[in-house]
Amino acid sequence: MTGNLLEVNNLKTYFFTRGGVVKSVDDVTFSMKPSQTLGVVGESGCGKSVTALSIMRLVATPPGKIVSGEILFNGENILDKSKDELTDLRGSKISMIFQDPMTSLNPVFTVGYQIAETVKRHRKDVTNDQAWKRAIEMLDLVRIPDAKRRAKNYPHEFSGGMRQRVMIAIALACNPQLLIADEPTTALDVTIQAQVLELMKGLSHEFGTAVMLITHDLGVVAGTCQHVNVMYAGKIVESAPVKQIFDTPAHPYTIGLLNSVPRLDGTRGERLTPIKGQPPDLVNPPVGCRYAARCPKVQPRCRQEEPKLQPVGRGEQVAACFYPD
Amino acid sequence: MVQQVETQKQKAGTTLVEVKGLKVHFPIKGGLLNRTVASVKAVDGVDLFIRRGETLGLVGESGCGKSTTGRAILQLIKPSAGSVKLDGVELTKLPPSQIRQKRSEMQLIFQDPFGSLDPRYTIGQIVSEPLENFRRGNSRAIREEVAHLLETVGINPLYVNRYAHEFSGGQRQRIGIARALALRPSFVVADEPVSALDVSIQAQVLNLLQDLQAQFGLTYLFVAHNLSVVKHISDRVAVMYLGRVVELAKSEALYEAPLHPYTQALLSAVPVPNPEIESRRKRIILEGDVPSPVNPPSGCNFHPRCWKAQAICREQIPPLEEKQPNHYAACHFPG
Repeated sequence: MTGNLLEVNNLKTYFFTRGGVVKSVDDVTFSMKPSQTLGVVGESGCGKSVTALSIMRLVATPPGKIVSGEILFNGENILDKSKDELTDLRGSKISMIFQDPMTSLNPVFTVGYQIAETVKRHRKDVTNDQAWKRAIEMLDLVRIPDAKRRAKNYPHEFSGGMRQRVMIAIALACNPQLLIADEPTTALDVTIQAQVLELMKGLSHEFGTAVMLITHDLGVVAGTCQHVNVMYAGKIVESAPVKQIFDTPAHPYTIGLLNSVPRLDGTRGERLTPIKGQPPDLVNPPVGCRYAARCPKVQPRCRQEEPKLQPVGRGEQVAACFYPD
Repeated sequence: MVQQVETQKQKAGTTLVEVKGLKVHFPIKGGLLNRTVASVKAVDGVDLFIRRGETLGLVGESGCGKSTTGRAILQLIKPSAGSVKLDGVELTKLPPSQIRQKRSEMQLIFQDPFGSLDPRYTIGQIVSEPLENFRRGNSRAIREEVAHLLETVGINPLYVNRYAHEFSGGQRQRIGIARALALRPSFVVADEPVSALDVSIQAQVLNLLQDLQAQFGLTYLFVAHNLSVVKHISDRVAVMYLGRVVELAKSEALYEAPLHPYTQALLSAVPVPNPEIESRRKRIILEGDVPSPVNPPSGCNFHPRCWKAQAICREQIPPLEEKQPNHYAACHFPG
């Protein structure tokens, strides 16, 4: 035990499709401390969701497969667990919230039932009454007004923001040690997003839950996370405390990402600096650095040799680049 | 063509689009006789004007009526009431045949780059269709024009015979833009043109839209929910809430000193990619959700969620008034 809650070592998750082997997550290593909030950012297809699904062991097999690596949760390798052990783990020690609040709840059960069900599954000594009480308590906690009555409502009677709060209630009902939130606010409007993020921040702080927040929105990361992993084409290209990611980004991709978003605190009419080109095909990723084709600082070495995550001389900040800033 | 652009530029600053009291109500049928029992007041009295050559941003949360407003201006949805003037011509009274002619002057760029291009057409066919419909030259001239359009939006003209699925999201959006520009419209409604794209690609398309505006003297109505994107591209911004425009001002003024409480809350909710600013910011967290447009609240729509609401807000609809020079707000207690 190194004091880490979660350790992911050399994880490789591939998808075996007719078009070839898609290397969605390719040699990813990172760790999380208890109660830490970790942001994982990157564009679509960079492997951030597949990393999360691998930790939950929810990768659809086939076509997906965790090819190699280890995922240590409290020192135990999740990849060695049996199906029963996994169902005990999911929802009680590790929970997950998904992007789409419209389809992640079961439409034919009341929300109270769905929360109580989770509690009963993991606490054998709990009676039906106690589980129902816990459900109401959780709805109260996620600030659903009139929780006692609303527990008897069905998902379609709730708005998007409220459904996402019900999801949070289910996820936190058993006091998990780790909450994985995969784009939890992407489908929500900004004012509702602010409500939900505020709630997640408050609750994780109160219960000491570690949160892995997956998002493409750099603003969300800046406001909620302590540490950030930036992913590109199946790899972590930079990892640093949140302040350093924004103040002194080291990897050209991180810099490119920061320069290409219009920002509310920016001046109008300024031209954006887009990243040229498109992400590589993960069936045949290029040799060397996967960002080389789009990188403004590319050198011949980048196309031959693959850069590994290395300290850039600023504390915990590491970047996978031969010529970091 | 060059002449047309020149005249567009000369007239810059005059009003191109004028919308007054625009309403779009969708009926809800029900009961035994399938009578109209209620209506969704998607757009409920929108006033705005767009000057030639400018970009007017139209922001608001889902269901506030911003897309419906865009479509009603183009007469793609028939307005229930109100007037829409394009270059002085009243569109709501025109017969369908004349509306069709007018369409060459006003075009739409869609949100979804996957659903908006016909999968059975080559991109050459997609871009040439408007030109053929409006008989702009013989087939050779059209072919040349299509190649030119594709080149303008950054697509290699050699790809004319490829199908939409062979392109990425960003490229498809460029093809959709080429189609919208084929007839050299003066007015373009861009309905969430970049919200389906990844950030790095989003920046490419935003830059392209700005370049095209300068090149062709275009006037944009830029409909989006992302306030940062709207701020970046718009000269003036209109904020919508529940079917009405609640604030309309120059970008800088609106973002620096919003007058309407809803705009203030909306702006404070947008996360900024800067941890220091984020840790210092005071968020206005609105209570509850947006009310249903079937039964909007009385008076000012926003009063049930507003922290400044007084008795008058529940009774009287605040009109959109010029509270400061060129800064319009619909609020009894602005500031």
